[in-house]
Amino acid sequence: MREKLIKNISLKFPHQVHEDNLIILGRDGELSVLNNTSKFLYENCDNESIHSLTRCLIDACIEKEDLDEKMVEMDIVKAITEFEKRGFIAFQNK
Amino acid sequence: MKTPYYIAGAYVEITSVCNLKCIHCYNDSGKEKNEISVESFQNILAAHDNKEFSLTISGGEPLLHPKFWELIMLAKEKGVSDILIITNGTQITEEIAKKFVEYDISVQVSLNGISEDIHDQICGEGAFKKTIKGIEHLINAGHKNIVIRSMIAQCNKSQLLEFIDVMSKKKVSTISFGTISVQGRSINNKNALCMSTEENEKILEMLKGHKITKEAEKKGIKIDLPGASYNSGCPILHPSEEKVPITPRIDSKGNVYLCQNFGGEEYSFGNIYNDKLTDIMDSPAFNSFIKFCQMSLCYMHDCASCVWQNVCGRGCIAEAANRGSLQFTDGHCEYRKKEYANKLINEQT
Repeated sequence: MREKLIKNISLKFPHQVHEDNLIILGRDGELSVLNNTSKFLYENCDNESIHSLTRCLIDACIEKEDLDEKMVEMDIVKAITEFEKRGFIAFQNK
Repeated sequence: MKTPYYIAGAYVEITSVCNLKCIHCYNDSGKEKNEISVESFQNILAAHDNKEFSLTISGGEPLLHPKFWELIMLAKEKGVSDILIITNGTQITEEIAKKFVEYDISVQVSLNGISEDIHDQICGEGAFKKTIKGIEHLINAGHKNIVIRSMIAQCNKSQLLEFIDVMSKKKVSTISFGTISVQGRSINNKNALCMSTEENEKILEMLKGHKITKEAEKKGIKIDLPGASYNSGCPILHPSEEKVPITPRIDSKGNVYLCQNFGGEEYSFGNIYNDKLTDIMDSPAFNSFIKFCQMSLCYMHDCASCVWQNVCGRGCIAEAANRGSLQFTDGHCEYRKKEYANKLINEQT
């Protein structure tokens, strides 16, 4: 069962923080720019589930009452899927 | 892939003798007494093929070479029309100024402060008055191509605008600024001279946009500011289909280097006392040197963990060498990284 996220390979990629962005050089030589929100997810995803990561992001937002948790979770799934595709994170099988 | 190139000129230090002891001198001039002979000078001129070829004659103080005018005449006879003399100006008399005009020779005078105290702090007591006198002789002789060149240093940074303002009121054609190369005497005078890349860039931005600069340009005076003090890479070391112009440096011992930025003799790949410049630039030694530099680009320590390793040209390899090893970077990485990041983010958003 795919439960928790891990950044087990993340720091092996050369990366650079530039203003609010995180720039990562991927395995295939492709450069990825993670914006403020993606950077937050990437930095806080270790050992979290999608659900707990959603809560973590909402808690960090100022106008949290305006957010629809389901929508946020769907957006996070999209971002995490992209991270996984690019090899930045992996799921820890339980 | 071997990048094609052509010899666009030569930067020749005809003597190591100098009457000044400037604290920023990359060459440590005045310490030794080496002079390019007339015979070896001909080995340089052999590279002139009646096309594009600019000859820059420097030193030491080139006017202290006992056969200075003989060398000039040789270049003129060979048909070299683009000649620039780099001088501290202190040896320019009325007669010499007239000769520069007569032979259509451009003159670059080094003036490192617009006030006596600052210039003399860098170049030695009494230097300012003599240099200003030399500039006046050139102006009075009606010289049309006078370049006034100042290094941008910690100790003169506050008067750069005044420098432009004062010099633009004289009949000079170009006011040129350069950055300090950490070689020779400047190594021991870093604190009084050197600035961070960021500080250099700020000063250049300020000079570029200032109304004093714009007013000088309106008068037809060229304000020559150094290009970005970091660069993406040495063109000869990266694949290109276009021919790359090369202006090798020849020091007062006759040693030949890829460009003016290369210092230590270990980076020389030939000597004009032994061979013609054209033969040196076509020799296995030159090809080996280029290959060695290209290989070095792959082994710069800091690059292995850098996000830009696939897109960066690795900056100036000569500056890396001057920092102690070809496996170091040129020291301008942070500025390059910022520029690459901004470009990438702009492309993706």
